[in-house]
Amino acid sequence: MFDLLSVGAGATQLYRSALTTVSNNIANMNTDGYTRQVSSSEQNTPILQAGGYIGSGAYLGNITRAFSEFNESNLRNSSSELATQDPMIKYADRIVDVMGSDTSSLSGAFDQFFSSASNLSSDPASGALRNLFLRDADGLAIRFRELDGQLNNIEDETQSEINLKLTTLNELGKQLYAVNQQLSKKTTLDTQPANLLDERDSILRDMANIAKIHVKQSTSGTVEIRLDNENGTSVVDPLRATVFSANFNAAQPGAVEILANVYGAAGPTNSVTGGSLGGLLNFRSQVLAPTMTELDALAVMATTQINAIQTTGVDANGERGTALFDAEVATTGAAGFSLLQSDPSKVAAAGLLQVSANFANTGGASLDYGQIAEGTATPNFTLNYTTAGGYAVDGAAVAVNANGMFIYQDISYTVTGTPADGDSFIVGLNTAGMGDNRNMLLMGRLQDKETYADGRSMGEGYLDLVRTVGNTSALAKISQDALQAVKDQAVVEKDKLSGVSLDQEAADLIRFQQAFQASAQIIQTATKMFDSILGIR
Amino acid sequence: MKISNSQLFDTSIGQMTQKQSEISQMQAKLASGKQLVKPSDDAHKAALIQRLNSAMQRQDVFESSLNRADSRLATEQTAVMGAENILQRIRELAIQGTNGGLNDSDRETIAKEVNSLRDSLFSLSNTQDTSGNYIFSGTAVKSPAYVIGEDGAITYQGNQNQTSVDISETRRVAINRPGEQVFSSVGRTIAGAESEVVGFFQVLSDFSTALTAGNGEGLSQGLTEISALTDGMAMSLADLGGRMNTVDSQRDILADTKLRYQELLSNAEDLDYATAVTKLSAQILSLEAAQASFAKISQLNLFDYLR
Repeated sequence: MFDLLSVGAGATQLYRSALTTVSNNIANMNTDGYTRQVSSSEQNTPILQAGGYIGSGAYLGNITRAFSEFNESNLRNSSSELATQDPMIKYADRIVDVMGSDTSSLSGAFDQFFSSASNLSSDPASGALRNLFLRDADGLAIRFRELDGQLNNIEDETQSEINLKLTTLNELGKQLYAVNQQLSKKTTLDTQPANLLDERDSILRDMANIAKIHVKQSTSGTVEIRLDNENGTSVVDPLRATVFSANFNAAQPGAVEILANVYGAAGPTNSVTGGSLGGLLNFRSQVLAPTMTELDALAVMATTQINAIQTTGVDANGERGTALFDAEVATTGAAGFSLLQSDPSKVAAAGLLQVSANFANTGGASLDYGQIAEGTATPNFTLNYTTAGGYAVDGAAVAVNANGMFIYQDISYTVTGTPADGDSFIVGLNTAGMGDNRNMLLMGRLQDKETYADGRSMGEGYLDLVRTVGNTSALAKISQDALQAVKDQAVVEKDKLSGVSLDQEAADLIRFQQAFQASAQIIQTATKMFDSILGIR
Repeated sequence: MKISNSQLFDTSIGQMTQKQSEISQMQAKLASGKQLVKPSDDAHKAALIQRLNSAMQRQDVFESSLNRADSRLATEQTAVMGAENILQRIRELAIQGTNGGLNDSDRETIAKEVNSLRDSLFSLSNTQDTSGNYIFSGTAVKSPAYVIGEDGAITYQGNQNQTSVDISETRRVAINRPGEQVFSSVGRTIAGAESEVVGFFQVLSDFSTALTAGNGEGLSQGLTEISALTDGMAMSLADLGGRMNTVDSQRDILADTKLRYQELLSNAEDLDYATAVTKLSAQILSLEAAQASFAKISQLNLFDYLR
């Protein structure tokens, strides 16, 4: 009788706990990081009576988390890999949008500049066209600087984002260290409070979003964390949480040094892979730095090529042209791309040399000169021809080859046709050539000139740059889609075990309610039986 | 397989968000009429569009060069045709002048007309284009091609340079002809002396002098020389005609090229509305289905049946 009562009382206690667990599950169904809890019952020790053992009821065995470490680590790793792609896509797309848009692209500025050069070549004496040419030259310089500024903005943003991620990682490390301290008060995992373990796992998931981590769990549930793998830099160990920081180098945006202060002195670590931090580092080294280098190289190329033409021509004042853009760009990069000329008459539209055939020449020969290298001195001489002595430059005989070519003071000249005895040509600075457009024609054709070693023009080289960044982003998007599917699967797997389903809880609620009611009935029965005994008279 | 409630909600919300963003993307395309809303949608296509835009702009530049060449050549044509007509008249006068039956006053009258015609030619030789450039000065376009010296002699002060403009990636056309080639010189041989080069206007002046003086030898030499000048002018006209033909034929090619680029650009850039609208309808349908099914499924709950 007494046994019946104690079995009934024990069972109601057990099922009240079970019902509490179920209602706790329902209450926490929307709590982030909550793991479904399960109560288990165990048999009381049977009592030996007469010839056999009689069961003495059940008691609450344990309340445990429906949890699998394998599912959890799968989710962590897939989160790390997925988070790597995001910064790559976000920032690479930013670059493509800036460099590829009609309004901010270098292509448009190049087109405008070369169009102005060609337009000026059709009327080199026009002051208005010279002004437009200078305006568009300035437009090109401004566009280079703007693009450089945009890339610098991205450099700054990624820098602060890296710092922010490191701050968060350090914060999480501290929290995890504190959780570890709590966990170390108990010796077995079973006895740890479920919410503490949930908190531990939440912190680990947040860490994994920042960088790939390796987790080593002790029997008590405390964890040791290293970056990347079991040999990586320690993040949290039983004694301390590591403080991470970063070193940036403005000259090398791709070379970001992550420092780990494990034992009181900060040293560089190479273990950061995956996660949003790994993604940011990848973006800077694989996309941002090469793009900046390429843009700087293009700035130097454009300046060099355009200046080479401008300085081997003659301006509207009949003087040899001086540099259009600042050659300092070689040290400053695209940021220092700037226009030096503001006077439209300083645009060197005319060819450098004037070759005049003597009015009295009777032969049918003409004299032309070839491309003049930058820095070549302006020549000034008379070429004479006599049947007896051949060609002579300022009286000194000069050898002219079978094609009529000779080189004098680094410039090549070609005689076409046959000169007559005593014919002469005067070669000198092209001082009176307002209508001469030879230099502007060269400038216009620079648009197609194969200035890259592999035969691409400047415009093509630029578009290739846009395409390359676009490719990186497209590849990252494909990876993201694939990794998203992997992560989704990991979430499903984890949820299958650890998530709260209202249907399941409802069923459990009924099950435990019925069991509770039945247990209460046991007590009722015991009471009635006791009353029956007392009622005997 | 157990599906937790939060997973059911998260997945459904994720799917609906995805569909909504697809619809908004498509809406942006329809609103702009372009295939790309932003370059990062497809960097390769964005680069292609920029290249085609650049090529189109090139064609526009060639077109304006053609217009400029056209206007220069038309100005040159007017001048050269005028000069040719005048030379024809001078040649007639030269033939008249060499006719033996003329008296001094007749020749004087002819000389006066020759002088006045020479002045007209001088004025034609200093023709300016719409921008005020002297078209026969070579590249020294800001100063007159011919000037009258203190002694009354007309001399060339331009240079011998020709200016060409690009009218396609590979084709160039000269937009001027130096005055000395249009108003050409002749070689004059005087018995017992070396041959010398005599300028265009000098020939006319010498002829006029010969008329006044009644110098028979000078007159017949003048006629020969003036005939040579007329031939030279005809050659200038032929050369000009050739250049004008080049411009005209290039204009046709340019129109074709522009059309081709426009088509390529439209293919790369413009949205195919029919396909886009059909796609949008499908996307909206799919979003509605997701919403409707979510509303139904999310109501399924065992608790509803517990009374």
